[in-house]
Parts: sequence; structure tokens; C-alpha cells
Amino acid sequence: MSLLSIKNLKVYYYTLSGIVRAVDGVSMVVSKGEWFSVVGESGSGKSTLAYSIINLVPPPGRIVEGEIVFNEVNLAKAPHSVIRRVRGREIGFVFQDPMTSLDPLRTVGSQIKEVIEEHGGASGREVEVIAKEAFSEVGLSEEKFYSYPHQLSGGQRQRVAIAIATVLKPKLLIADEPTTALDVIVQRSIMEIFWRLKSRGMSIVLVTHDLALASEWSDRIAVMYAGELVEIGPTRDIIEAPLHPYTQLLVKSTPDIQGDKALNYIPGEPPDLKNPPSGCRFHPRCPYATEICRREAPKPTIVRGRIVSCHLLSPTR
Amino acid sequence: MFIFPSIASLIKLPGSLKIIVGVLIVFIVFLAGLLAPIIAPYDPVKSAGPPLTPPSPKNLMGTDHLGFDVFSRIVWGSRIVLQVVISATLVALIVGVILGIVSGFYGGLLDRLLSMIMDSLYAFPSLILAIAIAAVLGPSPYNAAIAIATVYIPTYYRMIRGQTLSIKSQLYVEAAIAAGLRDRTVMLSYIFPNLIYTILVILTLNIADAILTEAGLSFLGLTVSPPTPDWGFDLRIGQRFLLSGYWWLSVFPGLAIMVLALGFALIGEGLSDRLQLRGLR
Amino acid sequence: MLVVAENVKKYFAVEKGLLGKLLGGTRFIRAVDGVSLSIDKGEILALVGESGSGKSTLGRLLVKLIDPDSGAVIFDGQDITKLKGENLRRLRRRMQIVFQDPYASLNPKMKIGDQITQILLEHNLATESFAKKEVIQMLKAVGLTPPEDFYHKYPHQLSGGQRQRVAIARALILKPDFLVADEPVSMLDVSIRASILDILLKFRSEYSLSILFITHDLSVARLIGDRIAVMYLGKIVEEGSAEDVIAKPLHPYTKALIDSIPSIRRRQDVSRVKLKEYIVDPVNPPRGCRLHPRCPFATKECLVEPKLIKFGNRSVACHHPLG
Repeated sequence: MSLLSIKNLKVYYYTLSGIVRAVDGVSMVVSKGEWFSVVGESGSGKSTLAYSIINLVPPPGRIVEGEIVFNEVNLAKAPHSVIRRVRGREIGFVFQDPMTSLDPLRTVGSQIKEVIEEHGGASGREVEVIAKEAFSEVGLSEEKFYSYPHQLSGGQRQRVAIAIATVLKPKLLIADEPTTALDVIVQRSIMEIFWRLKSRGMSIVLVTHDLALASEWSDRIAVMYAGELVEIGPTRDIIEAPLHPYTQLLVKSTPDIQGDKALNYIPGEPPDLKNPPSGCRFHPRCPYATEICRREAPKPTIVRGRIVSCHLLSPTR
Repeated sequence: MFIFPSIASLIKLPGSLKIIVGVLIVFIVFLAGLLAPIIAPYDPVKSAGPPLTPPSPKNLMGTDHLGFDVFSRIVWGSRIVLQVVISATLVALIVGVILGIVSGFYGGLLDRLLSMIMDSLYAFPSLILAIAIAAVLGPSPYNAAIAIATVYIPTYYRMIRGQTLSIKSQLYVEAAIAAGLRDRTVMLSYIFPNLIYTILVILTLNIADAILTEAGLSFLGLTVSPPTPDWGFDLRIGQRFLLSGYWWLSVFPGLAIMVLALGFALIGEGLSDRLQLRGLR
Repeated sequence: MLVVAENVKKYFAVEKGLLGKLLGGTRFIRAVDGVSLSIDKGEILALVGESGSGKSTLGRLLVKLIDPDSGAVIFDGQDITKLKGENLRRLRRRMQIVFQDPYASLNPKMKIGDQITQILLEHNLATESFAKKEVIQMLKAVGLTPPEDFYHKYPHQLSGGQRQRVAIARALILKPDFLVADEPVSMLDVSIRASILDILLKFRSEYSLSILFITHDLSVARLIGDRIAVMYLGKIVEEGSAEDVIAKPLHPYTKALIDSIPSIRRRQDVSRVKLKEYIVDPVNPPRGCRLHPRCPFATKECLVEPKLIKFGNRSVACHHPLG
């Protein structure tokens, strides 16, 4: 049951010093009730991808090509009024920094109530009831309803942000690095909130640089590198038997508290997105790169139940 | 060949138009001052026709009450203005910047003392203070320059001290101190280079202000003695004849002052616009 | 022991508004509240703690970027708390620091090679041409090749990882005995972190460099530390060899950290120590054991401050240590 279907999405930033091809032909499908993580390092384009779904890409960025089909509507081409309706009501968004995504001058309770009222979800006494319910859903005690953001801890603020994003019971929740600024113990409790939401049927799209985090909670993982999709598949498959060289190296480089103590890394530097390498963007750092990798960008193909973009795995070889 | 793309990309940046126009204006005035002996059609202190004649092909800006050619006086007058203002500003800059950096870097008693002095000076309206100083010292271009320099030292001091404090809190300065670099080295290599852009912006805006202050001083006769050509002085003299309809004696000097100040102000604003852009990056 | 901290305390006064100033009574954030530790020659101590634990403050105290309010820092047998002027500058040759943010720790207006050369010249350790050669060697040693090219680059032309290598080169050009690395890889991509750790380990073996490696990430601490010390709210709660602390944590906080770290291998919910969420007021930390309002094992005893007790090669500050 596909909820969100992204086809060949291209999002470019037109800057004074050149065109940054942040997302360059990405396709993926998120199903109902699924936890889908987009994993990538700096410059991978994962945040731009997340923002483009609800049309929040800041100028000079633009969606250049592609489709974002949600509920049979192509959000990439939909008029602003439609997108405004979708935001909050159908798709919720949680940002990385709870301090700047909340209004410091109003109580957190009033901010949740406002979302409900804006979308005409309810009126009068009902609004407060629904708001308080959303509050307790994310594990916050009722007295905090009347607090201001600066009176809450980072973890609590993020819970408020999640409450605001989910109060209208959207079908899809997108979270862009929601726990990067929080400590690891709080991170786990935030993930547990997402898990609870998912068990009630909400689809979760988690954008993160932390492969270990994605691997512990997601059903499926998409790995991005330099604006392109490198591999998508079920989490266990990706982690235990990664097919793409980048995924393999990324798994090896991720330290595990229980695993061996080897120091693995990927040599080289992430590419300049204004001037990406020819052909496969990973080829300069790939231990298996061949001539065709330099010449041609690989197309996504289905291999062993996964989608991989790598010449070494194409059926033609 | 390869110059053009870089110039082209520079022009796209905000503030570039202002900078270009401003530089053009200032350049023209500078040129006028430099080439005065060649450009000025007449000797500015010798009669060039009957007095109070309106602008004509013979006297482009007319003649004043003594028969001097106004255009020549404007051209030669630029020298006084530029000399006084540039020298005064440079002195103010050097003193203000050095004191500002040292004060901001070391803090403590020295800083508090200096700040007190500078703040008191800064509290005076610049023109009034300049007049007071120049009046005490006596009318001459040198004294006028001293007066203007004194008045503007606090401007540089305050800005530079503030910037120094902010740069000092940057991580790379902390790293330099941790590496055991001497204070002198940190101030020269780490703090000063990061101030240069700010200094340029203040400098250009400050010159614009200084030009008006100088005009004020010469208006009161505190810069030069007649018959030396001087915009502010000529403006004042020309005022007397304004009501009688002889507008060209005061309008042209007035315009000259305005245009030169505008030129520098444009450069300063343009640079400031660019600075905003950098700040965002 | 090369570096010894003896009951070091550092408090920061809280900024107060007008009313606060009128009412008097300054309040303090107890960033470091009585910390003692020691680092041996050639040893890497990984200091682990979340933000607000005081770990960065402790790092800066050990290299005398700030001075303690009480307690002593002893370097190679000498109390450095009182040093000033030329003596201090000479001390700085022997201890250096690498910061977390590679984008802010280099002078944007100088070529990176010149920045490092200047340090050598400042300390009168070389002539200009000799210094440049040393710097080129160092750039090669930290993996910036070709070093002659990198010498003339400005920081904005380098990536985060490359800048951090420059920061390390700068710190180690004086061949110090002790290096404080304050979260040096936290802002870098996971896939290149190990390359930076590699460089540090290489210098440790070649020059017997002692390192205090500060991090919030226990999995990184495990990769690089010989020993691990865990900090919470200004105090050390546990210390021991990296193996022991991770495999058999004694303090509930340590165990909670280990249980919360996402693991690639783990999928099931292990019997984990859950800490209650509690907003800590840094000016008014909880009485007694600072973890007690959050700790599932807390009892009345925990209202008394637990002392750091040694168990053989390890220490822990807890009235009810695990295991």
C-alpha cells in the first residue's frame, strides 16, 4: 500500500557560485504504517529531500523535475493551497532544532491548540481536549501544557514539536535529524514515541546521518550519497549484507558498542555538489571502480529484493 | 580575458552598483584636484571677468563677487577639502584602531579609562566639538585637520574595540592563545586581518561625514584664509548674494560638498551591503 | 603520571538581571565540581559525558586555557595553576588542544601552512626555511597530500575533515607531551572519523603522546581510549579500562548510556536501565548523588554524596554499584 511515491525527484539550488544538484534523480516509495529511514552523510541531499516533500525547500532551491505523489496528488506540482492543507493534517514534520521551531513567546499548549484551530479540526472546548491528549501521547505531564519553551528541556521541547506535528493524526510523519541535538538517553525515548505512533498506523520517515539509529528502528532504509540514491531495501538486508560499496563501507565505518574495535573509514572527501564527479558519484572513493563507473551514472536496478544503483551489480555485466 | 568573468560575477553582488558609482564620483573629484593646474581655465585668485556674472560659456559656473571664476575655484578647492579630510581621517583611523584593538584585547583598567574618555568625546556633536577645537587652535588647514581627527578618533575606537571583543571570543583566537602565540602576534595576525573589511566600511562612511564637518569648519572660516579657494568658505560668502539672485556663488560649492560626501557614502554603503552578504554565508 | 588533576573545581557565575543584582547573592554553575584524575605518559584517557557534564571545561582547565577556582593541576610534577608570562608560554609548548569545530578553529585570513609555521617561529624553535620544511612534513603526516599544495590553501578551501587534520597538525607541530582533543570528530561524517582517530593513535605510538579524548559518544571512546572516565554534572562517576567499563559498567548512568546507544547489531529491547527525565538546574544540582532523582536504584542513602571508591583498577562513585 504505497502512501508516498517519489519519482525521479531533482532539487537544485541556484546559487551565485553555481548550481548545487542537491537531489539528482531520486525515486522511492513509502508504504502505510512503515518506518522508512533515509540515511546519508553531509551533502547527501537527505534533508533537501525531506523538505521538498512538503515544499519547504528554501530559495534559491527549487524542485526542478520529478513527482511526489501523496494520496494520488502530485505535491511537486500542486497549488499552494493544497500543500498548505496537506501540511500538518496529512503530513507532519519535525525539525532538528526544537528551540527554533517553537515560538518562544507563547506557551506550548497554545501552540498545539493553534494548529488544531488553523486546520478547522475542532472548536471551543474540544480543542483543548484534543491538544492535551496529544500532549500526553508524547509523554508530557499535563502541568507542562502551560509552560514556555525555555522552561522545558531539549527532550521535552522535541516532544512538544512531535505533538504539534501529530495532533491532527497525519498519515505520514517526517522527522529531519530530530535527535541530533539531544543526548543519547533522551534520543531513545524520542524513538520510542515514534515507535508508538507507528504501531498506531502512522508511517514514519526518519532522516538521519546515524546508520546505527536507523538500523535499530526502521523497517526499510534508503542510503543516499551526493544527491543520489545508492541502495534501498529492508533494514536487516542492508545492514547484514550490503550490496553497494558505499553502504558496505558505511556499515564498516559505523562503530558498534558491542562489535569489534577496528578503525574503518572511507578514504577521500565527499564531492562538491556544484561539480560532482562524472558517472557514478562515488567512483573516486570506490575500491571497485572501473572504467564504466567513471563514464556513466548507474541506473537503479532490482537485485535480491532491493534497489541498488551500481554498475557492478547490473544484470548486464 | 579571465578578468571579465570575475568582474561580471562581482557586479552581480549586492552593493556593487553603489560602489561603482561612488568610486566614479570620488575618482573624478580626485582627478580634478590632481590636475587642477591643467583643468582649471583660470587662476582661482585672479580676476577672470566682471564680478557676479552668471554661468556662461566663458565662465562655466559664473564669477563671484570678486570676479574670480567659480569653476576654477571649485576645481582648486577640491585640493583643500581632500587634503584636510584624508589626512584627518587617516590620523583618526590609525590612532582609533590601535587604541581600539589594544583596549579590546587587554580589557581591564586601561580599557575602562580609555572607554570613558572616548565615550565623553563621542557624546559631543562632531561639528560643535570640531569648531571648539579649531577655534582654540586658530584657523589653518593643519589645525582643522587636527580638530577633525580628534573628533573622529572615538568613532574608530568604539567600532574596532567592539569588533575586537567579538573576534577575541572566536575559537581560532582561543586556539592561537593556546598555541602560545604572543599577544602582539595574536593582535597582528589573528585580530587585525579580520577587522580590515570593517575598517574599510567605517573609513568610507566616516570620510563622508568628515567632509561635511570640514565644510562646516570652513564655512566658519576656520580652515583657510581668503582668498584661498575653499568650498565651505565660498559657500558662506556666496550666501550673502543669494537673495539678490546670484545663486551660482553658493549653489556650486554646496553641490560640490554634497556630491563628494555622497560619493564616499555610496562606497561605504556598498561595502556594507557586501558585508551583510558575507555575514550570511 | 604526566597529568594529574587534584580535586579541581570551576564555577561560573550566572549572569543576573537588574533585580537579581539588587537582591544580591551570586549563583554559580558548578561546571567542574571536585574532579581528580590522572593520565600517564603515552596513555589515552577517554572522557565521556553529555553536554552540561563539564567535560569541555575540564579539558580547558588541564591546558590552562582557564584557571580552576580551587584544586590543582599538576603537569610533569609541576603545579601549573600559578604559572604566568614566559614560563606559561614555555609550558604551552608541552600541552596542546584540538577543538570540536573545525570550521571555527582556524584563522580564516591566513594560509593554513603559514598558521602552523608561525607557531614554530614564535617559539623560536626554527628558522623560517627549516620551519616550513617541518610543516610540510607534518601536513604529510596528517594525510594532507600533496603537502606543498595544501600549505598554501585557506581554511575555506578545505572540507571539515581536512580542517581538522590541520588543527591536529597545528597542535602537534610543537611535539607536545599532552594533547586535549575536545570532541574532535563529533562534527565530522561517520565515514571519515576513524581516519582522524588513526592519526591520533599514530602520534601516540610514535611520540608517546598522552591524550585526553573528550567525547559524548561511548562507542568512539571505546575505539580510542585505553581508559574511560564517565562524567555527570561536574563529577566523575566511573573510571576504568575501556574494556571493563563497557563490558561491565558499575555505575547506573554508565549502563544507561550503553543501553541507549543505537547499535547496528542490536534489534531487541535489552533489559535496559531507564533513567527518568528530570530537568536539572545547573545552578542547583540535586543534593547528594546527582543522579538520584533519575536513578531507578536510588534509596535514602543516595541523599549523601557518594565518594569515588577504588576497586582495584577501577573506581566508581555510587552507593549501589551494579554487579
